[in-house]
Amino acid sequence: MPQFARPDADITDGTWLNASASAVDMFASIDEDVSSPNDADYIESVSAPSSAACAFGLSNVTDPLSSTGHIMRWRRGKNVAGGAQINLTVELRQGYTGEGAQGTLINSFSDTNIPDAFTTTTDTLSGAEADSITDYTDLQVRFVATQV
Amino acid sequence: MPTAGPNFPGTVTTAAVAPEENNDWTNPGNVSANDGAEATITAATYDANDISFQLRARNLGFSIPTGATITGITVEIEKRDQAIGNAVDFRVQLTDASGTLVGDNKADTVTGWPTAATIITYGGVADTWAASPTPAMVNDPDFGVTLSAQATAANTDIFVDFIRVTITYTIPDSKARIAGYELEVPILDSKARIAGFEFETPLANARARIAAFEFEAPTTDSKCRISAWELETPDSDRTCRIVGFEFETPLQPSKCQIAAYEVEVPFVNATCRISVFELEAPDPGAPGGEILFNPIQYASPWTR
Repeated sequence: MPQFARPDADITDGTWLNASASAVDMFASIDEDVSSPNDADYIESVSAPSSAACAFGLSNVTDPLSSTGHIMRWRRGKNVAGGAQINLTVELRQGYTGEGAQGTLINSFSDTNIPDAFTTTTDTLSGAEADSITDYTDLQVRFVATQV
Repeated sequence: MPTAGPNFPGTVTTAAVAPEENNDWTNPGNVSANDGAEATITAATYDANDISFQLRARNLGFSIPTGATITGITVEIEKRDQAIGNAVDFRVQLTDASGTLVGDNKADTVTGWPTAATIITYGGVADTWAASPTPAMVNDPDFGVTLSAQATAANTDIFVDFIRVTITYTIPDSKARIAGYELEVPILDSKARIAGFEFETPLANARARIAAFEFEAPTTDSKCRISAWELETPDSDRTCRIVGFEFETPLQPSKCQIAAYEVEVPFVNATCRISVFELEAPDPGAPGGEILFNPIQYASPWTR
């Protein structure tokens, strides 16, 4: 039985909003079990984003003392079918407190040309990346969207 | 502004459709590449006012994004004849996704075809030919260009090297949406096992020994510690007591469970019973933390 770290706090909202066009507690829109998604509940960048960043604190998990089985999983899409290409960067960080203090980059995944409809994708951390986590209670996820 | 092409037709056919029915094309497939190989009409019967068959260039292989807006279609035809004034356009027109002629006929019915191979351009980046083109239409294999020519002199010869099409379009801006995120981290099941354990009792020459003692603890980083542990003996004034007992597991949150437990004591005809047995976990509030212990009673031979 694995454990899951999911968004539990907003750190950087940037220009992102939730489906209700609010920036309050956006984490609550992306904290559900990705395997049982609620696609009516999401966060959204501005139109034609250019390096639009947002970041969220993750719930605490305990150190598994293992270098394997660390899997990032996220569900993403676009607001317009056939709309302009958007590339999304998904970063796992430790010690991030804001755009000016981004802590340690644990893992970065370039999600190029995200699909129109919501689709789940995954990225498995390498052993070295997993080992670079020193505090499982201080992890954050940072998203950066750019329209090509 | 994005463009796609120029694309050459993957399929070229001819058709006699009145009034374009006087002379058929030879080697129509030659218009599929810019290579000097030409589709031709060189029959001696191609005379003034005769109109060629339709030369249908289709299957252009576009993959315009579904959300795009097409703003222009540019058709380029490299053509020639043998003498200026021998032929003029009769039809240069698009076909839609059903292969039906659609929109403007951009034929230049006045200017004669050049005698040297020349690329003539029809439409442009801001010209949709009044055809209301959509991505679905131009991506369809039946979308294409239909060409026919009318001779203006006796025994006209005409030649077409290629027909190619470029689509100009715009794409609507997008927003990125994220519906969920999680980081999966494993929990390692483990078993803490004590291979040997001894304690002393105040009974002379007595020694109780735990032969097997196990914890199954799917937990991380926790320290399970027995804080109190006593044995009752038949001698009321004597107590078996564990002074200290501690072990660590690499696991947390805890579910420590005794899988096997056994005490050997050097007595007979007595009951050895654990009256108090506690485990302390330093992280009792951890999610999922649980310590299970079922009191164990032993009927054990005592000796003195």
